[in-house]
Amino acid sequence: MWSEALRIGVIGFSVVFITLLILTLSVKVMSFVCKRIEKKRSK
Amino acid sequence: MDFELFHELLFKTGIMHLTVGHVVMWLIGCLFIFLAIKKGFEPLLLVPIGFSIFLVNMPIAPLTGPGELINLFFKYGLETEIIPCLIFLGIGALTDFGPMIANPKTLLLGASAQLGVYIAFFGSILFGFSLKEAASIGIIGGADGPTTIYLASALAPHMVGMVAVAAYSYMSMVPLIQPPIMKLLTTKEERKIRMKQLRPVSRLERIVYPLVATVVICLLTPAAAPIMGLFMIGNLFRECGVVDRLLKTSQNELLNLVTIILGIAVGSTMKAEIFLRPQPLFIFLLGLVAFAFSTVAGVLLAKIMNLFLKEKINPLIGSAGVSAVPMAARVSQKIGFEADPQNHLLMHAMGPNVAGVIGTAVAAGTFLSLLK
Repeated sequence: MWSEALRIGVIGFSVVFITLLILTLSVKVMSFVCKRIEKKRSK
Repeated sequence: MDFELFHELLFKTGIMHLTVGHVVMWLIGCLFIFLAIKKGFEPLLLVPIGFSIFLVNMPIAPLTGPGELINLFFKYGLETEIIPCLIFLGIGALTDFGPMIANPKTLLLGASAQLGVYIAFFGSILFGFSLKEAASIGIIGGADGPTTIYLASALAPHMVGMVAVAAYSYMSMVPLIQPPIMKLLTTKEERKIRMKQLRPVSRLERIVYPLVATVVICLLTPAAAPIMGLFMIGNLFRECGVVDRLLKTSQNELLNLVTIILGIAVGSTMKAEIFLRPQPLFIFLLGLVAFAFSTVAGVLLAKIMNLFLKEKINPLIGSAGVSAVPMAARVSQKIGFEADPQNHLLMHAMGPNVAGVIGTAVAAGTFLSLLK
């Protein structure tokens, strides 16, 4: 049971961190693209 | 003959079936109602939960048996996981992701504050709980009521009431639990750090965000799709500006309606024969451990990030990564304000605060995909 628990704990925390890290990068890219679109629109 | 009839009638009343356990549960129900009314602790939930505890502990009342009223609320609302998801729709309609979009690195604080979830998960196993029960207890550390109920109803339905009450109790006690930990882990100079004002976030970014977040989260953690999907639909209602009627319904009528059913269904799991055992005490203890470690991890990651960042972040906002929106962010603001009355951290703390909601949902999704 402990080895299974350790596996779940390590995978779980890693998935949380990786998901939010990727979301951070995605939001950065999203903001960059949105700003470009808005700049083009205003021109 | 008359005596027999009287005897039979007497046995059909609840009086003959009343136990000390029932009376203890009535007192617990009354305590919840008292805390909600007198102390203002999560009244929207504790009032229906408290009364439901009171009600379902009326002996032989036809309420929680198969096909009976409150059993139907539980069966169709919680067992099917519809209600926690609908609550997320309402929360999404109320959530402003602007501070998080303006400063996306605060998402990492929401991730680190999930550490307590896993510490309590291991602690629960140490106390003899099964893996599924341990996951349901650990998620209390995320300080997110609907996610806790969502996970517990899927993995350990017999514990929904206990973990939900523990989660909401700790959420309402955020202003008591977090400040000593935050002060212990930070110096006065750190608490005084002023953060640059957040940039304005455009309407286009706000509209695109729910779509981007849905893609990322649902691709990486498909099991979190039901709660995150509805969370993001609710947020799109808010930001798109063309579905006012849907937005108002999600924020008000729908959210209120499902909150009533949720409260009654959660309270109904707290029957004397289930609740009056040592288990709930362990759950409350482990919930506190989870909550404390989540706060510690959030603050410490903020301090670690400061070693690498040019523009420092105030470590007090790290504690807001435990969800409990917006109370945890208000605590960050209050402690920051005590150190420097000119320092306004509320909007900065809202970033990790909403990130914490996402982090907890992802943690729950991961537990579901590994354990269900």
